[in-house]
Amino acid sequence: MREVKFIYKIMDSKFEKNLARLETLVMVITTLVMLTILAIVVGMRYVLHQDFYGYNEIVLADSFWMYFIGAAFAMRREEHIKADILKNFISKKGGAVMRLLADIVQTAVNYAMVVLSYNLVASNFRAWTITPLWEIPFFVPQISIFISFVLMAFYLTMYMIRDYNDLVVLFKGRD
Amino acid sequence: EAKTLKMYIPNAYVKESQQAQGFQAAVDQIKKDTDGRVAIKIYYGGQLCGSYEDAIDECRNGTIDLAATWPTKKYDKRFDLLNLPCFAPLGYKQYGEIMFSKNSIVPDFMNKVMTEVGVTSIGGFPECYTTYSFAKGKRPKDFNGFNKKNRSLRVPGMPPYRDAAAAMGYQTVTMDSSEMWNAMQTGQVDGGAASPLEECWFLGRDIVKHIDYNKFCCPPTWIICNNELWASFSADDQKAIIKNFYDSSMKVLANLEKKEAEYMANFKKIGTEIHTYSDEEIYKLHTELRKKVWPNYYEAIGEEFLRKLDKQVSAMKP
Amino acid sequence: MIGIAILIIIGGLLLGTYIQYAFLAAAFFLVGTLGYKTSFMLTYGYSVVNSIVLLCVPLFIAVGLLMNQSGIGKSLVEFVSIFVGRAKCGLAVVAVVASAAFGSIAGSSLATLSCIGTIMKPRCAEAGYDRGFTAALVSCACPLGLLIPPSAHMVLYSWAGRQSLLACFLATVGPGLMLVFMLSLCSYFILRNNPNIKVNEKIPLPELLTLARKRTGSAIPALMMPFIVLGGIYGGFFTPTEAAAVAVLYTIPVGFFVYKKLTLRNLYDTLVETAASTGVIMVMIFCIMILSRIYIMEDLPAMITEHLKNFSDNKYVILLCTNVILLIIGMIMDDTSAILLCAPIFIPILEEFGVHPVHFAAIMGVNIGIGVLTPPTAPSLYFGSNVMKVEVAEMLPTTLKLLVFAWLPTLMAVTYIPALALWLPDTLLGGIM
Ligand code: NA
Ligand code: NA
Repeated sequence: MREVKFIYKIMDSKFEKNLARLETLVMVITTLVMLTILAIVVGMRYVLHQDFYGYNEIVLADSFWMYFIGAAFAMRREEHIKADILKNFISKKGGAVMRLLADIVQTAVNYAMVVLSYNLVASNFRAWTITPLWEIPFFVPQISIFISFVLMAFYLTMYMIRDYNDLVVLFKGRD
Repeated sequence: EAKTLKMYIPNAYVKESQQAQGFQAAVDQIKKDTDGRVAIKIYYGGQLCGSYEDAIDECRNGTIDLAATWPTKKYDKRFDLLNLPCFAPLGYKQYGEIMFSKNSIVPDFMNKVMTEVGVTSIGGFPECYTTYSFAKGKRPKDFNGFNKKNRSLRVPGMPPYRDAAAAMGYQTVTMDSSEMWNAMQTGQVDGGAASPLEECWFLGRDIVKHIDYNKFCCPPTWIICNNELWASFSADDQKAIIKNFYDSSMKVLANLEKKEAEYMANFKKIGTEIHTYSDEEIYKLHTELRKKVWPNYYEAIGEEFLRKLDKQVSAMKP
Repeated sequence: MIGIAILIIIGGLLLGTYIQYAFLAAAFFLVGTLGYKTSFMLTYGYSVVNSIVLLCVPLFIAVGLLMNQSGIGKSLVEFVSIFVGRAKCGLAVVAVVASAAFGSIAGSSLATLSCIGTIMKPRCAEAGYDRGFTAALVSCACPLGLLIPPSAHMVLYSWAGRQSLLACFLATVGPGLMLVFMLSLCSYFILRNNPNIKVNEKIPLPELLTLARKRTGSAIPALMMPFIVLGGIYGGFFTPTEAAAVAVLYTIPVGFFVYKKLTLRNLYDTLVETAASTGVIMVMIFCIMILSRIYIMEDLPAMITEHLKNFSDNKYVILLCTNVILLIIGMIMDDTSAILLCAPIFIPILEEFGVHPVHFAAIMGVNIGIGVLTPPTAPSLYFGSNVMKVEVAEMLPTTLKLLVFAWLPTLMAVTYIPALALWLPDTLLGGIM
């Protein structure tokens, strides 16, 4: 068993840093857009007595980018929720093995979601499904789901290899 | 034994609703007539899909087998046809003539679009007339006129509804149907468009105090089936399915007027005002509204078709 | 099949996968074995998350984070302590009441915990409170943030269960207030014979009045918030989503110009934090709803109802069973998944036995509150230990006391006295009881 060293290079690379920066930029902009639109809706109703018709279509398209890029960013920081029930009852080595197993399961499931989300985008692109008022194509928000699962696949794979390395180091220590 | 087929019906059709019961009756009879070869389970209250819009997609892909749903612009702009206002001013008999009768140009048109979208069209199923309903003291002075700028009305996020309400002079407010009753209750909007009397009764009877029974719209749901599944039925079974849904739709249609009279009586009992129109009044109102709203849809649905339909509607005089 | 799927979920959780993947693995297993096509999964997930009502979630998260940054929490605590400053368990009551007050603005319990916890920690230490006690008390009081409206949890319940959000918000107020009382009472009994606790010196009345005036003055912008949010919703100015947005937009200038704690830098960080936390919840919703759709296609609620009916047809027995099941689920699952999974399944079952969904909202709310405190999966407990820098083991004795003598009685009361939940929504909105 050998460590896969180049993963640390990737984790520390400029590419990874810029990716994170891009993600935060999308998150901040989409959150601000959401707040602005809702403020305009309320303002238009009480100040101008007018309806911002179909605002829901815009704000929901925006929110998907916020949700899913946010989720990818949280995956980068490993902030998603897990139960971690057995953590306190298991030896260090046992824990490392379990973590790697968990990594493998979730990475595999995530790759399946990459495929499914690609199919979702592709089928809505082909059918050119649109919203009733602004005629926003459905794939516009849905691309964020695809990108998110791709990014999460990237981070999950990276951390899986890191955890594998940790495991190798841990077991080598015994010899 | 045949596998039980899954059929979607929308949120609003809870188990007790007339439509849900109509679908159930059809499905029971279909099972009998096909000696159990076609067994359908109805999932009430929109349980099967995230939104009724998805029903077409899921039916096409075969995750659900059949659906009764409101087709929307999402899949084809021509589907806005069913949401157009004022195609049946004179009551359910005319509604039946326009939407379901072989003499009408509507069913063929719908079948054609459904085929193009990729599902098998079985036929329409009647919805009740939708109304405008208002919280206490929030009705406009005059229901008949066209200037109601001082009254806000929640409309669903579909252009024909907005156009109709705007043509009558309301200040429209778009919001999710799930927020409508709350918003009327707290006074955020004065009223809401597009709820049938039955829905007003079940969801809003503590809130609604005035109802404008202006018959402006009654979009039928359309029953569809997955193509491959449909092709797997024998010709006789196909006939039995179409026939039973059609018969049941006619029964529901015949019953709608009676049921609606019951709801009106219920509302009157609890002191709710219901504004109704004479045939002459509503004929005039609807003619005017069609003139204002329908041309917006010439491009999407087809000018020639809509002019023909307009003629078909106006031909029936009070 | 469904049994195996549940085993997969539990296996995934035990293994320590992120929660959404445990649910997805179960969903893939069911789709595979039951012969469904996979195409519906994402279509369905997309269309359930595509909801204006759910926008409340990020907005309530943003409000909580911004209040932490902007110093609103501190002025709330100062204000509350005017009233209960001198009693022996005074600071404990301040912590409980401040959690409730903060909860009336913030939409989440963790926001309540991190804000009130950070503020109370040094004060309680100074007054001679045991660290474990303080941490446990604040952790046990923080679910008040989800019982006192507005609350992201109730948004999720009403959304997943298709119930009136306004009514669900009001249903948890009764049990919330009862819990404020019970937690304070328990604190009194735990602390009354503790000789280490210092009580504030008596302040002469004129000075006290000046102090009160000053604190009230600086608390006014903070106290305005419940009026804006709840008054805005129930007064008919905004939908809940709009009210949450208005609250965010209100906090920003207040934080910048009134309390002068907010900077552009931490505003930016807060927006990033908001999107990240929201992303975590939304992906969970997305995945859990896919599984719950499959359960509905397989008619799980009807199956459970059948079993329950064979077991008993007494409403009170069924409610007891429900609570036991929910308590177990609360131990294993986190709060969001528990609500999303249980609301659509339990509402039709309980309706069959004559329990109003709005009543169940309150039962569910209290159960979720207990669930975030009961190990092994106890987000509030762990978060509390993290915020207060106290070992979980040190917190456990007090946590256990508060669970048994404050939380459980509240759960029993809300379960068997429906009026505790239903009186307020029925009075204000009508048509429930
Ligand atoms: Na709250
Ligand atoms: Na727990």
